[in-house]
Amino acid sequence: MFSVKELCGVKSTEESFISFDTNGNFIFENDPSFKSVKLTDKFNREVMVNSYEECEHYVLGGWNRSESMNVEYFSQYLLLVLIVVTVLKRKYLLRLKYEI
Amino acid sequence: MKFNKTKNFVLIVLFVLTPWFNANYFDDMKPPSKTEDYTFYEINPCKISLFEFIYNNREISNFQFVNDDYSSILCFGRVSQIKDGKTVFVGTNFLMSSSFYVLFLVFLLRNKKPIKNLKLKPSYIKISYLSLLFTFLIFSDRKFYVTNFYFLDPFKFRTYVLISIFLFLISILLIEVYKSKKHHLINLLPYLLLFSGIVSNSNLNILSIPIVYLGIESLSFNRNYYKFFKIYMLINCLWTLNARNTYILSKNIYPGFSSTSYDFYSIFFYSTFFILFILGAYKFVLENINFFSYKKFMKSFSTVISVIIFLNIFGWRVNFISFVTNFFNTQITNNIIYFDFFNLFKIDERIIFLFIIIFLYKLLISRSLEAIDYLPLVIIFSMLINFSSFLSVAQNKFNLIKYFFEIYNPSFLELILGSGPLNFNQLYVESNIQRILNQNLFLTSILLFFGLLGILLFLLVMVKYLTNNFWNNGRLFFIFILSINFIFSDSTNYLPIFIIYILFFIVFKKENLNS
Repeated sequence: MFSVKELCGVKSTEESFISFDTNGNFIFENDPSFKSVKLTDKFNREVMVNSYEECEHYVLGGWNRSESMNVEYFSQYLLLVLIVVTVLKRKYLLRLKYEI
Repeated sequence: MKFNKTKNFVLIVLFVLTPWFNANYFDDMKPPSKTEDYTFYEINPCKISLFEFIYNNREISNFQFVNDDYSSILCFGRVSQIKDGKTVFVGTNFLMSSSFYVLFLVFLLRNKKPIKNLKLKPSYIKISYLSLLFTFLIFSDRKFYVTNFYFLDPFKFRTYVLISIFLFLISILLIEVYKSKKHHLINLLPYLLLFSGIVSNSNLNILSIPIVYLGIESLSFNRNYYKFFKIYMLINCLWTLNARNTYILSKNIYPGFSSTSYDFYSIFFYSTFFILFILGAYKFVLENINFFSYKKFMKSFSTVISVIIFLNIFGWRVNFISFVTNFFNTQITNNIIYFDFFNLFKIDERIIFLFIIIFLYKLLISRSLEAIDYLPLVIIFSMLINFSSFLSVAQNKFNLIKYFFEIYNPSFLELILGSGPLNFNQLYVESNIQRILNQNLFLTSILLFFGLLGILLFLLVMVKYLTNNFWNNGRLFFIFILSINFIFSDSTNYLPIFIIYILFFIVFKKENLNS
């Protein structure tokens, strides 16, 4: 997973672009000096963020991946499953060979 | 019988070629036919298989194919990038390469008859220890793997959980294959010179997995080995405590059998790996010595030497063949001492001298020549004619020993106990060379690894070994020649050669010359 620094960079201004509504929900305002960043979560859903605070909030909430990372992680798990199947199949075949 | 052999050969070739066809052939991607148009590969990395690339480029001889471990699983066998207009990087993801190598070995041995009436079930607890040890080896090489792992961050815990599960699974496969086919393996050992077990550009040798497993097994079965292991681990603690500074070299010249860094973890885990490997290799030879057949072994060795000669004359000129050969047997060949045969082809001197000694010993035992013996005879004849090459090999070895003692500058503790096995980083970083020379003779390696105590112990073992065989002049002569060749060649740092030497030290000891 990528870190906040890798995805959002370093906070360049002291000004805050975050406020709260009456229910305590976050309201992110656009930072004109912040270059928009596209973030991805583990389901390949995408979101555009327009300030450092918004970016940090999403990254810490799990939007810290990329599409290629998701594909690679999926491939790694799939490979493990395939090897498990191969091991079980061989064990089953060996048992058949020696016990019957 | 002949049809079966041809069928097997074709199947093996097909299996070797399969990964390099990996691509989506139903998409609209068409690689450019112009060789200069590399922008296509920059825009579309990992879309074109190596086969498609070769098929679409007529001037293929201008390219050099290299492994690219830092590529995704889906990129395996595909062109990942082209650099300088002539270096083509082909995806060889670590996990995929390891899985492919394991499946390839299982496939190679599929026709060999399994052993009967033996306990086949491996101990899963021992396999857990084994996979943990190999995971720690990867952890101690973590800086090396930064540029080798794709989306497997060597500084994150998840990576090691995944790798240990992966190693656990492939270890089960490898150990089961070993247990059921072990009686064939001893005569197939020369094939390790072609398929050394090193996974692509990594520092993992998958063939060392079943050997280390045997090492762990021998500790639980033999109390003397266990006592020896405990004393060794005490010395290991001293080596580890001595590793206060970290020394890392960028290039590893003994892949799969040497640490890429000198630090606390590397020294501890590689020293543990080394002793388990030695015990395992010894157990492997002892377990299977009864199945050893000179005829079968020499047949395998002759086939391997013929393939090496063929690759030397033709293969290296065909860049695809050299790429595949390098995939299965990664070796940094720049500094190996070669025996040159009339500038026509050259063979690693470690291999050729071993081949000749084994052949002459077989000739002494059987006192007859067979069809397979003509290759060694031709090689001996060529070596005698080309005697100057022999002198150059001897000169090179002398220079290496001289050079080692010029740069060897140990502390008192390192002089007595050494600095720990399978590690050259400290020596070459402290001497400001910044690279490891790819020839470290056994003599100098043992002094570096185990110090004067190691040399003394080795001499004691050799004296005991030679006195046991003193009554037979013929055998003593061959043991002496084998020992000299072992001591004055780079035998300890290359896994296949090391195992063959262990085998023949035991074979020469056991064999009854009069039989």
